[in-house]
Amino acid sequence: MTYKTYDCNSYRIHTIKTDKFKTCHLEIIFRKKAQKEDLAKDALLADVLMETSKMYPTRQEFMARLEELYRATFFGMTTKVGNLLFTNFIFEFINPEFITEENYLNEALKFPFAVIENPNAINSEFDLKTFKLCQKRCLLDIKSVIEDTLRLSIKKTLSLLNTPTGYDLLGSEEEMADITPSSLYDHYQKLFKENECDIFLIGNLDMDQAVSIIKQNFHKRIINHLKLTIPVANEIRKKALSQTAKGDFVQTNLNILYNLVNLTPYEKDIVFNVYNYILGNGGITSKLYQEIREKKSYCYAISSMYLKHDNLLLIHVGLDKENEKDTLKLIKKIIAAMAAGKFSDEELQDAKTNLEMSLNLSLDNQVAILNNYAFKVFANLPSLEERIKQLKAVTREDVIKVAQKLKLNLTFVLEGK
Amino acid sequence: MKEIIMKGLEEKIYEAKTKEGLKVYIWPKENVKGTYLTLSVNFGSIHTEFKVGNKTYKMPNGVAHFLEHVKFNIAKDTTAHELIQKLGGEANAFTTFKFTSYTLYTAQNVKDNLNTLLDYVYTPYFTKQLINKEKGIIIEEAKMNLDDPYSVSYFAFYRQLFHKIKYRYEITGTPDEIKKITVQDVENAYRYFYHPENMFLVVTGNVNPYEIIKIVEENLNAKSFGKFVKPEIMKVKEDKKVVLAHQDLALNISTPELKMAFKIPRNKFKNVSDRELMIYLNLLLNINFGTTSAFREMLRTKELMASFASRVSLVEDYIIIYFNAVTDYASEIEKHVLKQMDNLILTEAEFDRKRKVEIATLILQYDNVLNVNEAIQADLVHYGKITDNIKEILEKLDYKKFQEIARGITLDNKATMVLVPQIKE
Repeated sequence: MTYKTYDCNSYRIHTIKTDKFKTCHLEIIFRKKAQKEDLAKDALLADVLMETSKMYPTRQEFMARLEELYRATFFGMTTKVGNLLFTNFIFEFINPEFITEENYLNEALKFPFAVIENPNAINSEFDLKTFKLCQKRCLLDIKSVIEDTLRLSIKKTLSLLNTPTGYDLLGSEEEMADITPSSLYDHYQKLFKENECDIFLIGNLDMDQAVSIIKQNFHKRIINHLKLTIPVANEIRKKALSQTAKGDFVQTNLNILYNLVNLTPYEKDIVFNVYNYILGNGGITSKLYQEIREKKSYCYAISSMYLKHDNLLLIHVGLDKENEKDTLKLIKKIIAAMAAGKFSDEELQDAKTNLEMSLNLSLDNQVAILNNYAFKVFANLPSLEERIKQLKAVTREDVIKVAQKLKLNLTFVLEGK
Repeated sequence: MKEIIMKGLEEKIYEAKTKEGLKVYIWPKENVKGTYLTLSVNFGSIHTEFKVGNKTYKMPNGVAHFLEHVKFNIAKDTTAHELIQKLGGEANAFTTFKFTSYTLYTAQNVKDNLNTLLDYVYTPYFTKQLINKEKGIIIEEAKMNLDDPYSVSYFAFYRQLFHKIKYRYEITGTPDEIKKITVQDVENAYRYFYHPENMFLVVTGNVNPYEIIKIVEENLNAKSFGKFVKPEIMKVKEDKKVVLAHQDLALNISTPELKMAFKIPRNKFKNVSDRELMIYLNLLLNINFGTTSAFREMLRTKELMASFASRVSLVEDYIIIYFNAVTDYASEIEKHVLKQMDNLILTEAEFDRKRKVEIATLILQYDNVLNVNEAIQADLVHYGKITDNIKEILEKLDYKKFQEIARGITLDNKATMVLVPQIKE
């Protein structure tokens, strides 16, 4: 694999050349500070831009063009990464070596830039039909949170923090409904002006040629030097919060949130993953799984999620109401035992072995390779090879040290019937 | 060992059968880190009534899934997960209507991982205590599904389509059915179905096929298996008509949704294999209702739907053509679908264009050890063998045949379900 970065003044192109895959994957990533009041617009914009375009003003034409490019795919999405809002446009196409058409690479690479630079808009307003359809779809998406107990309980838990961690990625129903074709077009103008932009491309291509095609087709001219900080400072509470809400579900959902206090970069990138694997992310052999599911039969689903950029750990369990108190007590006991070093060398070794394996397996996946590289660029994440090396060196003391950096922030119960 | 050449795709799959009867399929791929191993048994949620010799067995719904859960236990306080974790591997399993699969994904110790997979699946260890413990967990899983409106409506719609075909029952069983499962049920299911003769192993990844087959042969050689008597699955006689033409179902959802399906006897389509029939029907739906269809553009222009999808499946002796729309205008969509189904677009140009794209993208499927493994499993479960001439089939698809198949579609046997929001937050 060969990595190369091309500085194009107002944006950068990062290429990864490899012959491991039959498709090529391109991501155009815009980054800025997440603003709560703009999130609905950000999400709707990503959707509207991918629905139709000036050259392909109906969905039928838009999709037919992708089909002509041998079923290329193109979609847009926003994601929240700590304090930041990423808008990603993701384009995947077949490696030109499998296509007999000579001009295929040129035609394929043209498409995503032509679409985002030439939206389906007239007189500074997005096409009404496209706009209404996408707005409706986003509204449905916001409303559908009530259909998913896990999603609903996590949303409610994180909203209690009052920081960017709890911002809704799609904004609120009201914010979404208030957007107009013209206000969205104003927002579109800011995409090029008020975001940092990086392009990542992985595939078996002549990268100099690919970069030259991109440069010919992407006309972002404004140079931004934004000061962007990813981690969210979620404050520690003097006294942990405890809240319960009633839900209209069969199961009860219990969420427990911990602050991770002062993790060093090494602890953040490497050690905490080992801790979390032993605790609750390592599947059926994890502490939480063994104690709550296997020994007590209290639940089917239990896991711990490491929210790295928010300095948080979230434990979720779906269970019967009557077992909630006992489960909470048990979880606190497990967390305390981990801090006291009550885990075996074998558990530590298993965690390291399996995390190393996951890192190795991610080398088989081009999206994972690309994401790893993106976070190396954006957040100094060590390379996969470097992480494997550091992982091997993690000691019991390292894990105990991070285990002692947990501080209970809150518990939230969405009570079932 | 036999080499199956995937014609026109420059891919090779190795096939062997051990003397115990286990079929083994291997797709070697250089230049990858991962290896995916799946050991599957032709035993799924629909196989609850069967005959062995003169004896008939009837088990509660959910036994196949229950067995999948408890299969990971190999001795008192020892599970396969622990062994595999030490080797470095992700062990999992899933149960479908027609089969159960034990999966292992790894980047290291392939030999030991493969041996462990064979050892644990072929080591029966079922105790009353274990069964009772697992009931609590599986009941929570079933309850989780009851909170999922898509799972609830999925099976409710099958119950609307089928009188007796067992796809109408939840794969996990309901909490009450799970409570009824006994050690005896689990043991019987294991004894009669988990025989190498009724199973297959698929290995995809950076492996040497000859080494893999050697490991499998040595492993199975050291085990003893009785003679396999194939259980005779009791066939149900399904009424041609749908159970109920229409129903509204109130669920915990935010937006109404339409489900619609046509139930068509398989025998309406003559002189075409199941595999080809499915390809033709999928093309037909793609042309008429897919993302590049005029139909979908019309729904969009009229602002009738938020999303729309169509698909086709073969359920025992029936072809089911499904439509699904998130919409406030269910009855209008229903009318439009009916109209389109009655006037299917069948131009030769459109047919050729879609077929060309299908062929060009076929090659992409052989790019990922997980996908290829799953594609081999699907071929074996649904068609009983690997389709080595899929490219040829696509190339030879015939426009006249396409028209003939379209004529076989009958619209008189239809079911619709409208999902309506039950609560507002």
